[in-house]
Amino acid sequence: MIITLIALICISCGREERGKLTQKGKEIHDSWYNASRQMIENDVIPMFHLDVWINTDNEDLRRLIEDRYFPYYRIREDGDNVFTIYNGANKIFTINTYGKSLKTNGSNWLVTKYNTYVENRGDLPIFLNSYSEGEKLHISKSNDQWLIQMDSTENQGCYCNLYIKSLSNEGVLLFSENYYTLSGNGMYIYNQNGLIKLKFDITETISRKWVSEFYFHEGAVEFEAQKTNYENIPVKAEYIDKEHFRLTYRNITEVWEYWESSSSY
Amino acid sequence: MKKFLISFVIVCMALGLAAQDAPSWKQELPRHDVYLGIGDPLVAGVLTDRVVFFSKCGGLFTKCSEEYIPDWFAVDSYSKGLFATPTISIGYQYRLAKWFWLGGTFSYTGFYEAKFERISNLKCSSYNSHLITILPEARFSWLNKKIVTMYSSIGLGMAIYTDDTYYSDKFYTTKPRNYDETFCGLAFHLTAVGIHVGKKWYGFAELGFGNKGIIQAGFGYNFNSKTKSNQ
Repeated sequence: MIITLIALICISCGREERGKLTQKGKEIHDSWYNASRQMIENDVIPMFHLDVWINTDNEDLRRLIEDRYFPYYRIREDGDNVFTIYNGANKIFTINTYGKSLKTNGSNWLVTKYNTYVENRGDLPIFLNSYSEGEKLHISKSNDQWLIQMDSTENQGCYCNLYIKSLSNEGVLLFSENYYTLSGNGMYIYNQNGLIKLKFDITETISRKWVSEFYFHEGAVEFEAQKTNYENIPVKAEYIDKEHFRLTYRNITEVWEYWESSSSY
Repeated sequence: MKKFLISFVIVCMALGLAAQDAPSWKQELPRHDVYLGIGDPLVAGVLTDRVVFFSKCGGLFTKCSEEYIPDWFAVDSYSKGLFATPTISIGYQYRLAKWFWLGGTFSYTGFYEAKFERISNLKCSSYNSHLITILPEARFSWLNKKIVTMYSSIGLGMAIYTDDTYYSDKFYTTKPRNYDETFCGLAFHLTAVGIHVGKKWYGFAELGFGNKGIIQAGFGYNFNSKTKSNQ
């Protein structure tokens, strides 16, 4: 009896479900999404709040900005229009404003980020994996939107040209909430057992206009992953609403809910 | 030197005392034991990295792996299941003293797994693995009755692991179609408690840890035993 029981128990284990067919496409999309959103919301949008802090004499407003947007940081003015943001003793950003406010046409800020902790992760572009400097961004005003440029010579081959516009304005504070539209294109480079180039093109303007932790709410992006000696991988993401997006990978289209994770991870 | 001589004398006296019981247990209890058992393949699966409990470290024959790095250009595959045989063991034990046995076990566990490419659902790779264990063992029986014996044992030996992997040409252009590997390593088994029930033919069950599994059960035969009935 016991022998039979043990024999039956030992037959099979470790079954995986086939799951959604576009899981690899979702991995590719998620890696671009996480890097881009991190760059926009953690590195670019805070610069608009810093812009108000720099150009106001109102101490109450300065304190409000420090408490709300830089609660764990210190802002130091280094002279010659250069500012540094610290987290404890760690330098996080160096910003050169060249003497112009971001609200001024013709402004062109240079933002340099410093990575204090880096993991060796193949799902993040290499400008986020650098052990010293992170990305170098140029932010300039162009009519009613801003151009975020990443130069490939300054970012280990990665580049982008993204246009961002705020969807939330509270008086003098632009991007008071993380609501914005995004358009443009670029290329990120990843290190996954060899270098991979991920070209992206926002074919329909993306927007983020609700309080939601996951994904964008409308718009579309097309990607192409390239690796030497391999066939290119095309991927397309179309954001349907705040809970769903449609993903096309190797000519197969599936709808994903924001909470689903790809089992490949 | 004095201490050594005193210890030697004490051991000889103990063996002498044991020898005085020899005639009674040799007549009443069996001396040869052969058995066939099956156990779970869990420990064998962990040792051969077929069953992964820890995300980074594999089994006896593999190194701890680096942090997971995704590979978008790797074949996207999934497994329909890992199939494993139970651990089948055959062994022999010879009773040297009423409480002490020496012998060995030969065990086998087999694994099979096939992976399928996610979109086409075609088989892209598979492997057949075999773990063979040769284990000299010492058994210590602490309850020795005519029908029931309870014991613990320890074994240390060698394991041979062979892995025969197949890669489909359709999905893998750089890997060889068939890839065979053989590894040797240390094998061990510790039986915390085991029980035999029966006279000549008996059933047994064991609880322990090692290459033979955690739970083992089977049957065996005691032969050439010089019991009172044979005299």
